[in-house]
Amino acid sequence: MNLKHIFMGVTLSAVMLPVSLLAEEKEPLVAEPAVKFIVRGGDAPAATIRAVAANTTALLTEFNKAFNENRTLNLSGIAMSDEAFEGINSLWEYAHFFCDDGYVQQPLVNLAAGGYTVRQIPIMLNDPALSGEDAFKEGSLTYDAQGRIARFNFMLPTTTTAGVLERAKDVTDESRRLEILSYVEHLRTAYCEKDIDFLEQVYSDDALIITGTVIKQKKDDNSVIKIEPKVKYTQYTKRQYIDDQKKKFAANKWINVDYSNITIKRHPALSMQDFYCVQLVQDYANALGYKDQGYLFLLWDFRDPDQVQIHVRTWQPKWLDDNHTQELPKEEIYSYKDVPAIDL
Amino acid sequence: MCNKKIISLAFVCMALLPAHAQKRAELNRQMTEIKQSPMYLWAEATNEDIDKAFAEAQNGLNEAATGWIAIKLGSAQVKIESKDTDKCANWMNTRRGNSMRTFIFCKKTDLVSSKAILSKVTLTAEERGEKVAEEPEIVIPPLPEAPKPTDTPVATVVVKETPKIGFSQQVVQDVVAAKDMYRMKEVFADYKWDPRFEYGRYEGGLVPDECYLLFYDGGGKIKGVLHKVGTKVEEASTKTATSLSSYAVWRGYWFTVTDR
Repeated sequence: MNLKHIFMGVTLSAVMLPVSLLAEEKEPLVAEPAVKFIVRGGDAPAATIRAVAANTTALLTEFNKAFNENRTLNLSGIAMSDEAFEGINSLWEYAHFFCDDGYVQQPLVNLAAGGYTVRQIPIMLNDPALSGEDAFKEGSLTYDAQGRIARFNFMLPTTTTAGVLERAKDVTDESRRLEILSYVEHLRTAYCEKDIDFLEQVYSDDALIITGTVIKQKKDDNSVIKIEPKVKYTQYTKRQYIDDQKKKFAANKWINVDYSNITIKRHPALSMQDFYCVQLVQDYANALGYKDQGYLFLLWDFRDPDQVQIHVRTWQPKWLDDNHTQELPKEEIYSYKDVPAIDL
Repeated sequence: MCNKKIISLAFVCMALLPAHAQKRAELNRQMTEIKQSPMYLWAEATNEDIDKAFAEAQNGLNEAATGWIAIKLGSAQVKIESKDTDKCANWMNTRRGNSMRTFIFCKKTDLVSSKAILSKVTLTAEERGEKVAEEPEIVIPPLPEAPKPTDTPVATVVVKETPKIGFSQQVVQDVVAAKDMYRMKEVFADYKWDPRFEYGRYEGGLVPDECYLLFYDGGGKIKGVLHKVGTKVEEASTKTATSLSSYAVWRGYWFTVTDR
């Protein structure tokens, strides 16, 4: 063996190394065969903690087994509400997913309206919105007072929600913010589940729904004709909006909605202290290849904790051109300052 | 001949490819094993930025180590920082979609030997990774034969009624009376089918309110039965306040019991 052989060997391994990394990148996802879930902290009664741990362990283990075996879910024997049962099965139709950890330890947190939640469950899936590429999401589970599963949602990114919770003034405010985040996550997951019933229920009958569309406007500027983008706003009734969503749900095999950059603010009017303004960026994609990104504003009404509703929904496109070079000016983005006090 | 040498060299070089070629599933399995082992302290984070994931995981490990030391020493006097865990920590990274998961861990034995002030920390055999003697099997003595009915009239005996105590009180009384693990397991075997009684191995961590803990040493002798009441821990038999850290070196069971 001489230097020439050594050089060729090193060159070969330099070629093999990125090939091996590529091989690792394309490795098919495999879920751990069992998941153990442990409640780490919280002041729930011991019986509730045990029920939460047992139900969550069973659910996450079933996700993983069904993913590896590429089959439908078998949720029998896991204590959960009908809503949770239907929602999880609907999500499974969107994409099969699994818990990317064989041992999950998270705190059980009280929700302001009662019940509990566990957040940051690591979930992996081959996301159809990313053409089947691996995607990481975090899941959250809510439970009733006895530890029965009430709901499974895809969470908003922790990098987004951490700031919202850090700004909580006290424990009560933190519970309320967690509750709002849970509802926003439920709304986002409802689009993926194509849960039209939830959308019917969550938008109030007199909800103000406004959608912006970019139009090209001719402008005469000193005899020079310019084509400038402008946003045209159209107001819809709840009925019109729901009927439109029904058509989209029927036409698309899957719909994916992601939320980011969320801010939550209590409505400033003294008469509306149970109203919260939620502002976020929405990324929307569907199976027909349509994608958009826009600013979403929601006015949430928490006066009745058993019937939380949205009174205002506005959507504005983030980009005014197809090349994404021109953004909607910040001063035009709808915010809590633009919300009028509602006559209650 | 020359070609054979090149091919041989290629195989040798491929064999030396770094550990990140290791399959993701295998790394996940190792992380799950470490999490469930009493020998390790660990933390993890996932972030699109690998440096942020590492920093967050490192902070998490420092907090976990500080909390564990506080339980061991019975006070929060020692703060573990990165300069302490850096000496003994290892980590693994796996990809999660567009994000990186960093899992960082250290052996409790390595941490304790890395800082002089931690020399007072006593580790259990399991935390040291020593093989622990297997617990003896539960031996439930057979029920005595029922007496055969006879025609002899039975004398009527008047028994003074003793005041009844609740189910939970009875269970706690029986557990406290058990002086060793053999008897304790008989007690658990008596009650385990009653839905009002639940139990399991205590693996450390926070204790829910109204939960009981039973600790025993390697020889099976019961060292204490504790009761968590609100934020306090007391001895179940005497109601004397005590601390969990005093029992941290022993193995334990938890149990809960209700009257309904």
